[in-house]
Amino acid sequence: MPTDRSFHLRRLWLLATLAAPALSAQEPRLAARLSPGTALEVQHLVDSATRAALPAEPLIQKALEGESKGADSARIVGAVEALLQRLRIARRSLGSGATEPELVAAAAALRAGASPVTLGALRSLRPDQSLVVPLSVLADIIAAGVTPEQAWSSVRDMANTGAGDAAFLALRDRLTNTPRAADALPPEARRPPTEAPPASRPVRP
Amino acid sequence: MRDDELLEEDPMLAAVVRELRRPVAPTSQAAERALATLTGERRRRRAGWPLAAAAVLVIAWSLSHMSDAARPVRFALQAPASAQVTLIGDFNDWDPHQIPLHARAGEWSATVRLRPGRYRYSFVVDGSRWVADPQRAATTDDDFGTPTSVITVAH
Repeated sequence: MPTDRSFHLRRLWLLATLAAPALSAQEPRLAARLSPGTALEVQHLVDSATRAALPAEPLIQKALEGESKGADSARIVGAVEALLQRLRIARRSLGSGATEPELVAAAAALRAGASPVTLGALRSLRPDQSLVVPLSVLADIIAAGVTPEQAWSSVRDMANTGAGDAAFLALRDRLTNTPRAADALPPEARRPPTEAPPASRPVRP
Repeated sequence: MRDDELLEEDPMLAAVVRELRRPVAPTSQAAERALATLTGERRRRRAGWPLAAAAVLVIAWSLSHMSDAARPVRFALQAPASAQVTLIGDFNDWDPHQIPLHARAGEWSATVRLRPGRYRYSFVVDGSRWVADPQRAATTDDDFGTPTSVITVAH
C-alpha cells in the first residue's frame, strides 16, 4: 500500500537522521582495533567525556594500549572508566582552564596517590604557568616510593620559589635516581606533612 | 596692447574668456560623487585596521604557543642481540608497527617529535617482548601489567 510504504520511508529517514550524528561521532580507531562490544562501551565513555568537556584522546589511548597489550574487554573498559573518573577529578581540582596535558599529568598524579586538594593548591601557586611538569614530577616522585605528603611538600616548596620546569625535572631526577628516594628529599621536605593545603584557596576557573 | 583691446579685436577669444569667467555652481551629482570618493577613501583606510589588528593577534598567539611546539625526543635501547625493536606509546596509538627503531652498534634508537606533556611508552623487542626504558622512570599507572616507562616533555 502506498501509504504504508510512505510511512516506512519516513520512519527510515527519521531513524537515519537520528543515527547519523552518533555514527559520524564514532571513533574509527576503536572500531578498528577493539571487539565491537568493547568498542561500544569505550565509545560511551568517550562520549561521556566529550559531553563533560574532558579530553577524549587519553581515553582512546588507554583503550588502544589495552588492546595492544592483549587485555580482555572488562579490563580495558575498567581502565578507561577509571581514567575518566580521574580526569573528572582533575578538572574539578584544576579548574575549567586546565589543558589536556595538564589533565593527563594530574590524572597520573592522582593515580599515584596525590590528593585532589594538592592539585588545586598547585594551580594556586602557579596560576599562569603550565602545571604539566610539576604534576608529572609529583606523580613520578610518589611512584618512586616517596609518600604523597612528602612528595607534595617537595613540589610545593619548589613551586613557592617560582622554579621553572627544569628545576622540577632536576628534583625528580634527584629523587627517583636514588634507591631510597625518600632519604634524598631536601631538608625542608622532611618535616612532618602539613597537608592538606587549604581548600579555600582560589582555583583558576 | 591691453587685454581689453585684444578681446575687442578677436570675438572668438572674447567668447572663450567669457565662458571661462562664467561662475560654475556645483551640481548635486557632483557633490555626491565627491562625497562618495572621500568616504570610500576613508572606508579603505578603515579596512586596513582590522587586518593589522588580526596580524598582531596572530603574531601574539604564535609567540605564546611557541612553547607548545613539538620537539624531538630521542628514545634508545641497548639490545645488541635483538632482531627488531619498535617504540609504542601514547603518541602512536600503541601501534607496534608505526615507529621501528634503527640499530647502530647494538643500540636501537628513534627520534620522535612530541609536544609538551606526559607520555607513557614501552619498547617491543622482537615483536613480543615488552621492555621498559631503563633510562627513564617506570610508571605505576600501568593498568595492564606490562613494563611501561614515562617521559615528561617540558615547555
